[in-house]
Amino acid sequence: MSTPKQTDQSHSLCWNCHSELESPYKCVRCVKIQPWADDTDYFQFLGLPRRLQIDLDDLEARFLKLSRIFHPDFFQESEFAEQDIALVNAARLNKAYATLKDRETRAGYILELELGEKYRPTKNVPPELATSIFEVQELMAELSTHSGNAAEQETIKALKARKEELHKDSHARLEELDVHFAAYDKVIGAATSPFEPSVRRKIEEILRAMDQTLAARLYLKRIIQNITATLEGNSTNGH
Amino acid sequence: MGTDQADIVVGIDLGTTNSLIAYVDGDTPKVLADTDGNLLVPSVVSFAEGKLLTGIDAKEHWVERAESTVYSIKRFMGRDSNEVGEDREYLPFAFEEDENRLIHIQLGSKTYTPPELSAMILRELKQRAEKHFGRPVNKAVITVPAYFNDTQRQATKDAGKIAGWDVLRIVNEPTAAALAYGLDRKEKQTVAVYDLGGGTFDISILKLSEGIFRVLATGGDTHLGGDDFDRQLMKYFAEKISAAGVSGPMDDPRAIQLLRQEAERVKIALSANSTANFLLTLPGKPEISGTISRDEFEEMIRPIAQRTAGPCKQALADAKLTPEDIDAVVLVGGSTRMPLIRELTERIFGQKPYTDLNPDEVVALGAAVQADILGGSRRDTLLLDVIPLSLGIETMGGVFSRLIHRNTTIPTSAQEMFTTFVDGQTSVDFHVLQGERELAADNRTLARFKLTGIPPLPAGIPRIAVQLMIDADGILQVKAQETRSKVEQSIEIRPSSGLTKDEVERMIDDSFDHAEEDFLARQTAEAITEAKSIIHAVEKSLRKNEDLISEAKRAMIASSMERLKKTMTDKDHGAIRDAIDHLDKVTHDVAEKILNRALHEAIKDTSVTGNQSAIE
Repeated sequence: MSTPKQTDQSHSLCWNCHSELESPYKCVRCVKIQPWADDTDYFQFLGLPRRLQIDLDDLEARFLKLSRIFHPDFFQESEFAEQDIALVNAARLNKAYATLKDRETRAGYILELELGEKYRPTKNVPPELATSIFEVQELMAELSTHSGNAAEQETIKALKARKEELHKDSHARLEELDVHFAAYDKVIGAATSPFEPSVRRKIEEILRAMDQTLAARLYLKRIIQNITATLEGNSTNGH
Repeated sequence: MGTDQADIVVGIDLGTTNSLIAYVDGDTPKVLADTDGNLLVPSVVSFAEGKLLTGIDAKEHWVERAESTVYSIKRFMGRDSNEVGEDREYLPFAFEEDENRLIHIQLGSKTYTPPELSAMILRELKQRAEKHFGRPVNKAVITVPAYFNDTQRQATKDAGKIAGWDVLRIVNEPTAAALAYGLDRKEKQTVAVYDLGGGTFDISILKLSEGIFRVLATGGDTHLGGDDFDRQLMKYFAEKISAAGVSGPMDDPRAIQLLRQEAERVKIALSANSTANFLLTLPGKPEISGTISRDEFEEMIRPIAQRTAGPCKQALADAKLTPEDIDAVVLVGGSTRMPLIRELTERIFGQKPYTDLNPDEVVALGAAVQADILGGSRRDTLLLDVIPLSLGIETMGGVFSRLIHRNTTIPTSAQEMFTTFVDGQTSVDFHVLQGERELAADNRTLARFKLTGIPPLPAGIPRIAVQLMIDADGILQVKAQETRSKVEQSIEIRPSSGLTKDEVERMIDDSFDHAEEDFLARQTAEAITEAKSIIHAVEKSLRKNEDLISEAKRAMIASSMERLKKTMTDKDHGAIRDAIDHLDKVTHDVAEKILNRALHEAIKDTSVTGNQSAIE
């Protein structure tokens, strides 16, 4: 495990003894833990470069190591100020780990980081899904008009088959995220400056694609939930 | 009380049926026994002969004083009268509800809330610890079922405070059990803890690695346990009784209690044997006897036992694991002694469960380990637990908006922005809930509060940040702030079901005074007993060995004894101890002489010392 990246924190001072900090986590002089600076993102706090392909075992090891530093259990007898830092840091650390561990929330986080607070997930229905969703809605409407005959059984069968397809599609989209992650890492890795306009353009293109994938996943999830609820509702209503 | 020793921190398993207290001795967690060697304190409170009894003393009364003997208190902790429904008809004691639907149980001339009753058990445990250590013990970790909601946790913490405990932490029972199980295991593994106690069921899945115990997912049912199995047998007995033509067995509290006792006995017998005999001797009714087989019993409880399978599967799914990923299934709680439960867990997880731990003690032992961590003596072990149920806020249209999802590692926090709907609106109401349902109305209300003092602005302009923070106890703190005005905002939190802060404070004051008094009274009683026996021994020796002691010395001893007798009537244990010490010093040289004489007489011809003259 490499030591955390020293960025703008390298010249910050300990809140307690005001000596210069060598580590953003703990003051070597008075051994007090340090508050998590607002401009430190999840990657920085975990000592990771801003890359989207993450080794999950390494991430877990970093999370556990920092938990040993910040968990409130170890500050039961400490002064209130330090207890408060432990609580806030531990809560943020837990959130950081949960966010980066999961591919979807990781993608959502990088979109927020790169595009800023004004970022809003796209609301456009991915065009390739529109037909599929329309068909499923028709099948579900059919189910409520038929009852107790062979046609109903056919509709149920068709819906179940659709659900299976959508599941597969949803899974494929998750793997699509891996492709975007690799592309992002490649662009960042090759760039001399991430702020160069040509680099920014490439990154923003990847981010847009990522946003679309997330939107598709969300739609797929909702429609699968709807099918499940409809099938369950149908089986409990007089069957 | 001043002491240079480190504070003792103990672990408490406050159970539905029995409670235990444990501490870490050196490196090993141990359960504290009473003077008769009993480890378990029955979680029973009884009002008999004009006073309140707890534990074993209370349990003795649970047949003949059934209507004033309370048990299974844990099932009522943090619950309102709507939530305890069917328990009512099988319990011999009466309860009432107040305007907030809070439960009050009548004992003698007073009524008590569930936290006050639990506090009586916790106080008995406190006395046990203080007797063991010979000094006040105030800090404790108390366990709760992992699936307890915020209100139930808060009620438990309140009970601790009322009993005079400084509750350092509320720990989940299966997590505590995992701690006891994994303490000496260094290898990485994924463990499922299946905890079926007297009244609650929990399933937790944990990952153990290098001293860190991380809960991946938890699930359960806070109203499922051994009590429910007993109840099935009670129903069966009731049928046998009415089949024999004996009417109305359920009307008499003593009868209910006799049936319960017999049901519990038969249930336990059927864990070891394939059949068991029962004998129903109801007051004033003919005896009814019979035999029940394990198969028959299992048939009647199977649907209840099966209810544990759903939460197990859900927990596995939430942890994104399959049964093959589980390295060990640890059984906790007395009900896991039942063969049916062992078969069931084997079927769910596809492997034989680990049954080497004592299912009654393991939670208390784990709590002691967590107490040791919080006491600062153990830095190599750490628990990372989760919140069992999602938390959120009611939004437009009665929809439940989840801000923190279940199985999120704690501590954790979430923030959400809200605004006003009407021009010039200066306050906003918030409704905080816990649960998994989509509509707010289907979930459990934790708190309602009103944010006031918002500057009057057009609708939608104020920006109100509401922050939910779950601390390491899994207990909620809510903060709200209007971010534009930066004006201090006031939050008024009304507990939905449970005790208000003031009520708890009052109960603490009441009991804390008593706890201090109790401790002092015990110290004094012990000192008086010691003083009496010393006075008796000195007087006896003086008579026997008159010739060895000078007039002057005798006067000194007499005045020292007078002083001791006076302190005994003043009931000041410190003064009594001082006076005992004084008498000890005064009689020291006499005692030596008396000892010599005794030795001399014992070994007739051998002269131990030549000097036998009277002391000057």
